[in-house]
Amino acid sequence: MSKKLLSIRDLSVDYNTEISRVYAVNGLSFDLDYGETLGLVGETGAGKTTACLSIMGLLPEGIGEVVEGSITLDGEDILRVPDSRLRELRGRTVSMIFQDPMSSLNPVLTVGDQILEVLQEHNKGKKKEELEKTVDNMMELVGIPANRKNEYPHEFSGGMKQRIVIAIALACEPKLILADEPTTALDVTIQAQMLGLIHELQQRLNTAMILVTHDLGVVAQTCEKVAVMYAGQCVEYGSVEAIFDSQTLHPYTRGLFNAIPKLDEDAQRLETIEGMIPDPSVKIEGCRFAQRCKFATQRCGQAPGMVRVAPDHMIRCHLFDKRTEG
Amino acid sequence: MQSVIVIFIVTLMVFLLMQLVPGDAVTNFLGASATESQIEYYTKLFGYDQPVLVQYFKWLGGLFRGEMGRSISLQMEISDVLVQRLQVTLSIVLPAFVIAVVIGVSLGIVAAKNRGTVLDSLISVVANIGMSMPMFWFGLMLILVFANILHILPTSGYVYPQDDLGAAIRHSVLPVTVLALNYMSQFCRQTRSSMLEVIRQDYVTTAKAKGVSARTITFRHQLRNALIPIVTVMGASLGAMVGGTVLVESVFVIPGLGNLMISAIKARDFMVVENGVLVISVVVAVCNLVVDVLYGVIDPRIRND
Amino acid sequence: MNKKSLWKKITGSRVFKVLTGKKSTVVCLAILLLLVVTAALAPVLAPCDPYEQKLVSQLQGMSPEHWLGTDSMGRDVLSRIIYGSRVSLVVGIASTLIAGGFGMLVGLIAGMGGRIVDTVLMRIMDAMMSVPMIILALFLGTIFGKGLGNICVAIGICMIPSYARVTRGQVLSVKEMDYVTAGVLCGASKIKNTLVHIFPNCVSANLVLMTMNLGSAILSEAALSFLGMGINPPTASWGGMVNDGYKYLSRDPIIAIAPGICIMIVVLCFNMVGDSLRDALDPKLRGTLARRGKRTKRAGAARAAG
Repeated sequence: MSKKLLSIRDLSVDYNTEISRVYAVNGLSFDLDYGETLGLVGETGAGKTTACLSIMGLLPEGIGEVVEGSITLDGEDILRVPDSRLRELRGRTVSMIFQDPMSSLNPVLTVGDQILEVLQEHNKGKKKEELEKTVDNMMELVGIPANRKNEYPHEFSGGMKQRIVIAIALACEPKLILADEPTTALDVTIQAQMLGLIHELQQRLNTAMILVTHDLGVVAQTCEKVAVMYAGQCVEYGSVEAIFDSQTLHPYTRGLFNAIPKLDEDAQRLETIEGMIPDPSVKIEGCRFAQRCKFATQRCGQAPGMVRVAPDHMIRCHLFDKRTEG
Repeated sequence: MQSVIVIFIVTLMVFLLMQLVPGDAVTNFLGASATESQIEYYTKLFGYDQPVLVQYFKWLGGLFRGEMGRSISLQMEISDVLVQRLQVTLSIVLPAFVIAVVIGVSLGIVAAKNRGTVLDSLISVVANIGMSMPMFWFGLMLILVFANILHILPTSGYVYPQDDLGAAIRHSVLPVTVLALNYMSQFCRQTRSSMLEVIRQDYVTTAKAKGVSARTITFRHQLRNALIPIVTVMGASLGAMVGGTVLVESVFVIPGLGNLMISAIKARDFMVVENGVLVISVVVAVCNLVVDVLYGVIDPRIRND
Repeated sequence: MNKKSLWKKITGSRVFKVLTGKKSTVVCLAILLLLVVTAALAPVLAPCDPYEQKLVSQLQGMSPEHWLGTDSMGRDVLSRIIYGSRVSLVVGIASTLIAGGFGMLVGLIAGMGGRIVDTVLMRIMDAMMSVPMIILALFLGTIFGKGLGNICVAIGICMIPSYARVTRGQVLSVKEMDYVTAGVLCGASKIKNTLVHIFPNCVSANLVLMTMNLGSAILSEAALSFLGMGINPPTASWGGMVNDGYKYLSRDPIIAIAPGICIMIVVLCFNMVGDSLRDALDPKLRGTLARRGKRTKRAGAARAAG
């Protein structure tokens, strides 16, 4: 089991806009095993979506650009493979569930056709009737009666649309699903339902998943590994047990935990992390969190490395680095 | 129903306004040497002595019996003239429209796909010039180059396709080009701007995430969603082209509907004008109808409204 | 307000920034400025009298004396082009103002009036739009007769419907806004409410449309004059000059070429400035046609159902 499904090394992504250059991801690294679930946590603007889009090779053309690093998916360096191979991988090996189901379905095609499209693309030899059957199965699998496949997206509710998006993503039984905040655009009442569905299907098809979310509670329930992102970097990485039970935490992760309301404590106000995420168009030399960190010292002017604090727990912070202590 | 009302208003409006035009058809037709009694005879014969509204409803009644009346200046049945002239105009308009649609939409897609590049600017400049050039002047320039200097195409005139197909094509190359360039520019600009609106939509990203080819993305996911405004412009243009060929017909001396309208206005032969306006507004109404049907075909959300 | 702060206010405004931001727009504005200067100073700039006929020197071709040659009546083409700029400019501006003014009025009345007023006015506008502009202009031109003022009115009337439509659309969307309701609640009369709260919201869209229509007004005048139903000869008009040159196309093509190029450049400049202005002021206007289509469809369906 030494071969990983996905391994990202020192990934840096820049966006070139007319006004300025934005450093969205800066040296991101993490690994993912086959069938494993990773929770990718962090504030808006931390680079989570950008990381997912890089894995898909779908950074906005002419704007987003991988400037450094490598992404190895199932043994292939996807930043080096030709476009035609990348197209084969998309939908077949890796697929994505997008944030907003309202806008991620094509309004002028029936939902059945949209599921069929991905199947046809990746099963060129097969007959249409056969694939239609798979479409029916997929729709039943996500809990929509197959007889609704000739309806258009606007005839479905938001939750139903997201089920269709999930069906599209899972149709070819990919090895990896990227779920980019799949529930944020939905009603609170169906969020849990939707996550349950995704989790169940993922278990059944034995698919690995990266779940992008703000919600640490969701991570605790569904994920095996957690990566906390801050300003384009992974600041903490480990197993769910290690991070949720540990007192040894990156100051930022600790802040995130403190910002969760707790039912058993009688707090008047939630703790917040002071300050703002740093301007992504400015390059930062030292620790990216130092400005907002209560424990910041002089050595934080130098960039910290990843420190292994437990067998399955790593932190990017000088506080835990014996070598730089002094 | 709505278009029937509009056609009714148009014809009534034109009919009433025609009363304001100085001069009348009878005197124009008979010339200055006409005697009182001659004028009176013809005025009675064509019913011009009756009150305006009576004349209008008589004409309207005639339409239901399939009669448009007789032209005093041409001394022919108006319906015969109109059918013949409409055929001529359509033989120029339809090829021009097809060419304009194919080239205009393609260029618009190319420009939108290559936004901000030299190619995009080049297409934009061509489209802008195409829209700013006076059609009649462009026609003259083509005549100058292809007929007067290169001698490869006839200067003007019209040949019916059933008489001599080769000559008919040679005669229509220049007028079709003039008309096509102008409308091509409009279609190109509209296609570019509505493609740009859909090019970064989420469902396009979804489609890319499925791994489908660039061509499928362009046509199935982007163009189909960008099509509504493009089809609107096309429908409006086709209607406008049928009446708006006046200039092209005048430059190339083509006996079409436009030239007929001009000569009828000059001769004050208002029954021809009235019926001509009727034909044009029916064509416009049919175009609108087709566009409405197309809306439903293109966008299921409109279908269910 | 002193002069400096006024200047700052103008240069700091969004419109100014957009108009001076793109090189092509600046060039277009410069050309248009040149046009205005030319029109204003025509008597000074023109080397000859544009109406002086010298039958001995007709169709002379280009020469140091007559840069663009002379026409069939021996008049200096360059001088006539310089004078012709006056016609184009006046017709462009006057007819656009007429169309904009009356169009906004019709749109306001349709949008604020009751259902019957609205239906009647808008059906009339539809009717006008279903006749191709050039035919309508020809027709109105025949009614009013030739001449500068009449042509302005004729072309102006032809362009009224598009302003009425845009204004009505704006009125209908603004009418439901909370601040307008607040005005009603405060007891403002309908007319006051219309003028104070609703009208100002319609201005910018109409201004953009007016800039974009200047070009087509100039084209229409040229077309009418070319067909011999526009400006009265011997007044110099670019469209009329192309018509004159038509007959001598093979002998002396410059007579037809030169005024055509002038029309094209001026219209192109107006169109490009209009485009920039639209992008700056009202990006939504781009989709107007599409929304109109949908609305008509829905209105039609509602009527069919009702």
